[in-house]
Amino acid sequence: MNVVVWWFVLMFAAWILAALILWTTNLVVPDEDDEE
Amino acid sequence: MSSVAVWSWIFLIASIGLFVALGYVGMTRTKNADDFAVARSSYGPWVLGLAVVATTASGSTFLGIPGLAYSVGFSSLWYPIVYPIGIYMGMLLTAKLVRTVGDKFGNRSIPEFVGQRYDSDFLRVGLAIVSLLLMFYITAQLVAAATLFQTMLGVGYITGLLVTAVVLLIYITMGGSHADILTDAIQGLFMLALAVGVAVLFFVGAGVEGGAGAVNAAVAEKNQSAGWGTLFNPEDPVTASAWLVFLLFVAHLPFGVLPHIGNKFMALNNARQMRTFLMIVIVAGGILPMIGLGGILGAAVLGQNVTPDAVIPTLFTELFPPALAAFLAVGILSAILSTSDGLVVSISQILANDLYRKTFAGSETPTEVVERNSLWIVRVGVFLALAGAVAMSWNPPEFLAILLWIGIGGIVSGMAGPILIGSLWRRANKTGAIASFIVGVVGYALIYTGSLDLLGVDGNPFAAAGYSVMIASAVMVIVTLLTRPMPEEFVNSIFGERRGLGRAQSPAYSRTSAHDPERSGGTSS
Repeated sequence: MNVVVWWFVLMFAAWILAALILWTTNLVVPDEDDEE
Repeated sequence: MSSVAVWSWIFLIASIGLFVALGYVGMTRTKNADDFAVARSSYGPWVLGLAVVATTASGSTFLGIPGLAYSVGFSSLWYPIVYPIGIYMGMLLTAKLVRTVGDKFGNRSIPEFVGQRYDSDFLRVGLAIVSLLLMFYITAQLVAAATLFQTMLGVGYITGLLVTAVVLLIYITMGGSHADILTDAIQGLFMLALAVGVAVLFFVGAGVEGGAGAVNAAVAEKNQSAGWGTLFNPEDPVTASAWLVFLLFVAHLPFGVLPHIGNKFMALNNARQMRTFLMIVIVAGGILPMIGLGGILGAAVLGQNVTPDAVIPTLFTELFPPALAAFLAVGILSAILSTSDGLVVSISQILANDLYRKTFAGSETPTEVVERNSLWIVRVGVFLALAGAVAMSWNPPEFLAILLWIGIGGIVSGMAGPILIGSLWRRANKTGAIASFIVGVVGYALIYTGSLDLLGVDGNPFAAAGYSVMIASAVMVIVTLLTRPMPEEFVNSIFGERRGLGRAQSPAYSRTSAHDPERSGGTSS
């Protein structure tokens, strides 16, 4: 695999990982309990 | 005057007029010192996402990364591949706490947030003072802007320097963070357009027949190790091996909470929009560094007699009609201004907020007096920061790149433990954070200057930062485990109650009686 292919593989992997973290965990959104 | 220069003048005057107009809009939205500092809860995820991405990518990124790609070849692209992943993954880990604590206590800066997280004046003042090293970062941007004016418009270096500083002075003094964010969002759009355009040029192989494969063939023909078959080039100190690329990633993890970037989390209009905001940042932030592909295309099209940092301007002049080539000047100026303006706001906050409001004002000074003085000091601070940066840029220090990375590397190393580890780990305590901060800053200086000889550091600031981030993080964990936890009530006031415990929050640290009761200010609370 050349560097440019690595670029797209890693970039898309990072996007997918970020989407999974963002929409399946509470890592970035305040917990309901904190919101008043 | 060449036709490119004429078009560049037209575009630059138009865009500068737009930025100043946005500064005026920012001024109409700035009613108090809190507005000036963070534009709290004022912008949606798209505007703020573009602003954060634009702030993160500097003029050095837009000129330096293609320059490196032009000189070294494909293997240097590990830098633009890895740094956005490091920065934006780091943001995922830290954004929530910066935002929730910022909202709760009215924090106006990253040093203030860190002081709040650990109930420590030492950490707030220490980080604020270390953050003054960001002056070298502003200086590097002004030097890049003056050089841009010199090469694309044919005006003198000093004239370019003063024009850039005056434009920044006008729109930031007027609108503070509002002006910073509004202009950055527009600048981010220009930068994205430029990066996407350059990536398309690379993939269609503009100037060489046959697409990206032909670009690679042309580059490899001139220099075998520059082709895409070489994954790691031992001649490039930054990306010579997979280990150094990993250190590059680690070094950038705390970058997204540098004072001029992390303060923008507080400007998001609704904390529940954080998901959309961060996704926009991660996607757009991954695309922007593709400007680096222009350096490779330059190596294929232009031959080897171009100054590396000038490769993109030279490429555009070669490939495009003057009007289109001149748009490049707007893109690059946008990259420079969008980083400089955030830095200037952050430096002025160090004076007005971290040092005056939180440290010297004293609890007996009436709140309205403190607020009035803060707004006055912050505007004087903008002038002082820019005047200082102009003075340093007048005759750029010979070792500006080194000074720049002593600043950034020192700050990221000092912040790694307190912010990265401290955002994820409730147990992280004040003693651990102070030890980690000191070891990070001092350790970075020792490693970077070669006093501590570690693998791959020679001439490579990213490796030095990668090592010191890891060492400082380890110190944070070890010292915390060896010392007493912070009081549970205090930890709850920062992170909220643990689910299921059902204990009432202690009034000692509650929203209304935080350490600086009447000073928390803010328009949103």
